[in-house]
Amino acid sequence: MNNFREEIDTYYKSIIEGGTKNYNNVLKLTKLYENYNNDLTQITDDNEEVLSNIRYLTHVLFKIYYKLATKLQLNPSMATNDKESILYKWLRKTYDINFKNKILIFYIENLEQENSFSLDCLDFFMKCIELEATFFASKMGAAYFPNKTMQKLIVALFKESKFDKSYLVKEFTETYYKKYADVQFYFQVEYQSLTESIETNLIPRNSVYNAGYWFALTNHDSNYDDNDSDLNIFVSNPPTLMENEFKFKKAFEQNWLFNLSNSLISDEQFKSILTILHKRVIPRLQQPTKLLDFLTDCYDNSNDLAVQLLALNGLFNLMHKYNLEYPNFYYKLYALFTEDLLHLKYRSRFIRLIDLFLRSTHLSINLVASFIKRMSRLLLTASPGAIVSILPLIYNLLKLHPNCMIMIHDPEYVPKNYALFDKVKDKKFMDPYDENEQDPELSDAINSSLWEIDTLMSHYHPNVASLSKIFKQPFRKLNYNLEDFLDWNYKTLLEHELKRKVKISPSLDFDVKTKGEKLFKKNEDADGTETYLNTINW
Amino acid sequence: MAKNSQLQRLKSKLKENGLHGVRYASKKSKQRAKLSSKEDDGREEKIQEIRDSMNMFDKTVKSHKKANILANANTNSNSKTTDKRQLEYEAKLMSYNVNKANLNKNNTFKDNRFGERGFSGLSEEEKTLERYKLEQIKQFEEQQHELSQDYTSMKGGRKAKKSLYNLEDDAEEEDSGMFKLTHAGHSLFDDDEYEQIIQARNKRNRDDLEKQDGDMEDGVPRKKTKKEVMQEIIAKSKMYKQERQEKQNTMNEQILDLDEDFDDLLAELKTTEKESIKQKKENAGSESKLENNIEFNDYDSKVKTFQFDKRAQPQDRVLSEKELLEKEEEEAKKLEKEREMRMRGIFNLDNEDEERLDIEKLDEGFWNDESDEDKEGEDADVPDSDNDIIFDEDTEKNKKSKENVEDIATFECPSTHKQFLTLLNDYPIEEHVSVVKKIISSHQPKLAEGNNLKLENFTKVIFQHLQFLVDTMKEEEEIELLDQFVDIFVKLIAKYNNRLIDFLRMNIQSLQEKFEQKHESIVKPSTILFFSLVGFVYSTSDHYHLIVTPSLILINEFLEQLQFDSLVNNKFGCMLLEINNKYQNLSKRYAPESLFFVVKSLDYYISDKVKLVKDVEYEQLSIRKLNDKTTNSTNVLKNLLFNITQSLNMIWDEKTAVNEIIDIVKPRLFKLQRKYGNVESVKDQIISIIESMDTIVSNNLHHPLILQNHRLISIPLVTPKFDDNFNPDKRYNNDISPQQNEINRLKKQVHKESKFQLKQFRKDSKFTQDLRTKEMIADKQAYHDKMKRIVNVINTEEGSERNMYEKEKKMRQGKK
Repeated sequence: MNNFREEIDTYYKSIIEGGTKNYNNVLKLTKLYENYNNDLTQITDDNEEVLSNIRYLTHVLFKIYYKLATKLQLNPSMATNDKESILYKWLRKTYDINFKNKILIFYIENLEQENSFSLDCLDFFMKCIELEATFFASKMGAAYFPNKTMQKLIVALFKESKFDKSYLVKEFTETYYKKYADVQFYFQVEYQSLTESIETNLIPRNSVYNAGYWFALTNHDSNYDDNDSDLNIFVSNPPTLMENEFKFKKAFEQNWLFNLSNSLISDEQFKSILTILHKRVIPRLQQPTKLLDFLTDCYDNSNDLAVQLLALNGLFNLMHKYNLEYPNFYYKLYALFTEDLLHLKYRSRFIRLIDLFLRSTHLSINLVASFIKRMSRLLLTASPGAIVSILPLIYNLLKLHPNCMIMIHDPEYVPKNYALFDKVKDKKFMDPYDENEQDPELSDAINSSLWEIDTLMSHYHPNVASLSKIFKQPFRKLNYNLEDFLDWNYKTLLEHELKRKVKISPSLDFDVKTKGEKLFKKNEDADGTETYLNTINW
Repeated sequence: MAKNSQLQRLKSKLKENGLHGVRYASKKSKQRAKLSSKEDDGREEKIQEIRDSMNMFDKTVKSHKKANILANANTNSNSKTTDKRQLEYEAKLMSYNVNKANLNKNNTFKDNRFGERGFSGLSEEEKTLERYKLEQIKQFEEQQHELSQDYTSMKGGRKAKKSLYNLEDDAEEEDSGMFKLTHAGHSLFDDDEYEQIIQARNKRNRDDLEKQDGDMEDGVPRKKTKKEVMQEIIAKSKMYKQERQEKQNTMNEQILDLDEDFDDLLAELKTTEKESIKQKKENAGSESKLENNIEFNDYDSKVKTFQFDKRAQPQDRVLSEKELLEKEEEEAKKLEKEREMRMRGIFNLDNEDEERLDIEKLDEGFWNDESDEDKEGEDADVPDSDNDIIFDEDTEKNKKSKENVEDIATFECPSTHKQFLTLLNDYPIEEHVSVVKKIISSHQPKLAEGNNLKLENFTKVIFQHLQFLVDTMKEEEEIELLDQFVDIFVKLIAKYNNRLIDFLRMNIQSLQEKFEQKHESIVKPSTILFFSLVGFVYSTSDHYHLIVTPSLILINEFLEQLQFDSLVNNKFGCMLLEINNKYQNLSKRYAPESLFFVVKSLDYYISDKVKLVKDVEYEQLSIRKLNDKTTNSTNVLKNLLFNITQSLNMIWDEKTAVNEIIDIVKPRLFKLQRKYGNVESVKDQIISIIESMDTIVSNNLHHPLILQNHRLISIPLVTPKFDDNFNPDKRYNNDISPQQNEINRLKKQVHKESKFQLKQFRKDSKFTQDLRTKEMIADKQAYHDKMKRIVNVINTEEGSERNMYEKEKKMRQGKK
């Protein structure tokens, strides 16, 4: 090991101190990598010796190039004579190809497992960008950003590959993308130019990992175009082009759309994208309505109720804030009310959204009535937790749309209204509500009645029963605060019950009819005492 | 007074002054009368005079002089403004002088009467009324006090403290110059009119009083004036007082009489006692009279001891068989009524609280001093009392026949299940029940202290043992053993009901926790056993029940959250559904989860996961084979269908949304029918369910709800008010209500008045300040004058002396 380091050190010394004639030693140094390239699997975090050697080697190489760069020997345009120009060009070539491409990019791309060396390579590469920005400008001190180098990095990260490089993306996001405005700007712009270049399919559209990378890259709140975000500049003197916010937004939007069109996004990723959509994506887009297609696709293609609902939430957001016209919204929302809806884990989130969607006073009565009827129908098979969160919602809706009150009170059937009641007294009422009608406007629920809620008044849980009795009492309360009711489930209900103080002793069964029963059947008893249970025996 | 009524007096007075009965005979005379209107002034005066004299209440005749200095300051005279100002000034000056004179003095006069000090805003009349009221109250209180004292010091005869206005004592104290109520300067108590009223009262009923008063006056009922009302009030109160007094007097007399008679009575008693004693004396020889006294003292103490003695109580009658039956029926009815009340959630809150208190009290006493439990009354130490755990006769005999387990004393009451198991290990399984019974009978609460606690613990052990048995036993025959254990457990839990609540609750909680960790872990026979035990022991129809409600929550949680994709789980769900139905047997409460389970379970049978199996004979589901995977799926389905029928007929049928429920279930049944078309019995069952559903739907009128059929509430209609003098320039605030308007007006008034008052205060203080400065200046002036004079005197004296001296000097010089 020491030999190895000594060897490197001697090369380093010869190059730095020996002058131009020893520059060929650079090639010797880069050749040292070949030992490792035969077997890339040996470069892992566990193999400390290899790792430290190769890291040292890379470090020295960077130092050499850095020294050369400070001497301006890497910038051919700085050459004063032909000889120098040839030398500089050669040096630049070794820097570009031998160091950046063959070493840094190579290791970034090809190391399969998560390891610290590729992270180091990333760091060195970013340092290279910094170095280039300072020394590779056409004139000394001119504004310059090495966008080609940036492009290389993007390709390296987003190129089709067999293994997950999310740790690299994460590192890049954490240490560079999130902190530096110019990195963000050039990243987005270059990404866009890469995706739009037709001839080279460098960034694949449908990739398993890219959506995740992209999501990791953008799921944060410190963005180039935020007014309140406090971002630094990575290179010392970036071009003024960077001030062009419009260009950034456009690139950002294009890149988002490009990534959203990825057909390999999983439902989970959809869910997480949809959750950040309204907060972190839509405000940054030039034309948020462009997401319409994506959202409708989400809704149509997914079987996951959550994804569908979140997609609807995004659509609602667009309609609400960006004047998107989407006539099918409530139609699609209505379709979500399936039998499983109230048995899902994220029920309370659903109900919150449904509450939001239906809060408008401008909805038609037919529509609101359909939703109310559908919800109460679902309550017939719902858990107490769902019931207590839906009932206040229905109450609020009835309060908001008093015309729907006919669903719980039809004056025609009040026995006191003699003339009216006599007409309908003996007639069978045919429920006009069409359960299978897809369009909430046409289901005719307004002419139906909420028998389901009346049934819930005899719910086995005393508190649920009394809550449903609010529909029996005068509607004096302005509205119910939904949040108070959303977090009930079996566990909390039970806890509540078990915490109750013992006031009266539990009453025993004194029923005469059941006296003398046995819990289990005792053969065929002669005296005919029955067992407690009908269909169960020992 | 000769004339009785006011009116008569008024008439006579008017006649006297020639104002009564003057009728103008002709127009002429009328004109004359008009001409002589100058006379009217005099006449008016006269009339006013008469009026004043008649209105005795308006007048206060001072029997003794008041120190009316302050009152003077307040009086307003009717003179002209200059005079008024003068008078005001004088009054102020006077009060100032008085105040000054009274400064730093303790013996000043303070008028403590109601409304006299400070600003009261009351008119003279109101003041008197108020004072009278206060006086009455004071009097009444004193009287009460007196009465109570009278009763305590019965024999004293004289009252301890005399009332100021005591009617009785008034006669004696008339002369003492005490203050007394007067009317028109006469004492109220020698008022003829009053006496007359009293007499009249004595004659007639109290109710006739008003009529009488009317009669006395003019025969024509008219509205009474304030004065008359006052008079009446006073008269009435006096009359009541007199009545009270009389009553008390008679009572006092009676008591005195009794006191006198008591001596006779005592003498009588003594003689009878003497006779008995004499008899004794004859036996025991002669004794002195002293002993008589002792014996008599004995009597008192004996009476006292007898008082504390237990009185003989009637024994419970032996009831005939019919009566017993009736009694039983009545009790059953009462229990049923109570149950129904609980079902409807009606608790008599007061009763509940009392009951709760009772329980707590009993518990406290129970835990703290167990040795006292006999006296506590809860566990009376009577053999065969209700508190003992008694088993049926036949089992008792069985126990006797088994001779392996004899020695009662050898059994320790096991406190944990492990101990119990090791104990049972020594006996064959058939004898376990008798071992348990032995343990219980050897630990009857009456036998030793702390047995209650032990048995309570033992109940828990038996419960654990039951669960253990259910989970481990697999043999058909063991059912008897199980049932017997259940019997024992039920008996024990009925006794230790209160104290096992927490234990059962813990059990519920642990079940829930297990379920949360792993859903399948609770699919065990013991779970079923637990729920059915709860239903078996407790009254499940209650609106709220400490054990049943949590159990229901748990059952329904299982029904909702279990994945019904395996036969075992389905079987489990079926059992839970059955238990749930059983719970709602009487109360018919609706559980959405059971419908959910039905739907899921039917879906499971419709799906391809279940393969068609050959028809089998219907068989009840077996607890012990719950986890047996080889169960015939068709049988489970049959049970499920059976339970659906049951829920339909028992619970869903009664609900208004039965059509909707059927809408959910029916399509699935059709699908199932299609799938099980070949299996005859299943098909028949399905068809019968569908048929009953159809009949239910066709019989159900399914009228829309009328939940808001409340009494209509009227909305206040505010008609716009038209203002005749509407002024567009004026600002009208129509938003505020009349009350608010009134409030604002009053506020303004208060503000105005307080301002005025402040002004007045300032004026006053300025006045006093002026006076004070004047006084001060006068003082100083006097002092300066005095000094000047003295200086002058000195100067003149000195000057003259000096002159004299000069003269002398000159003279002497001249001499020289």
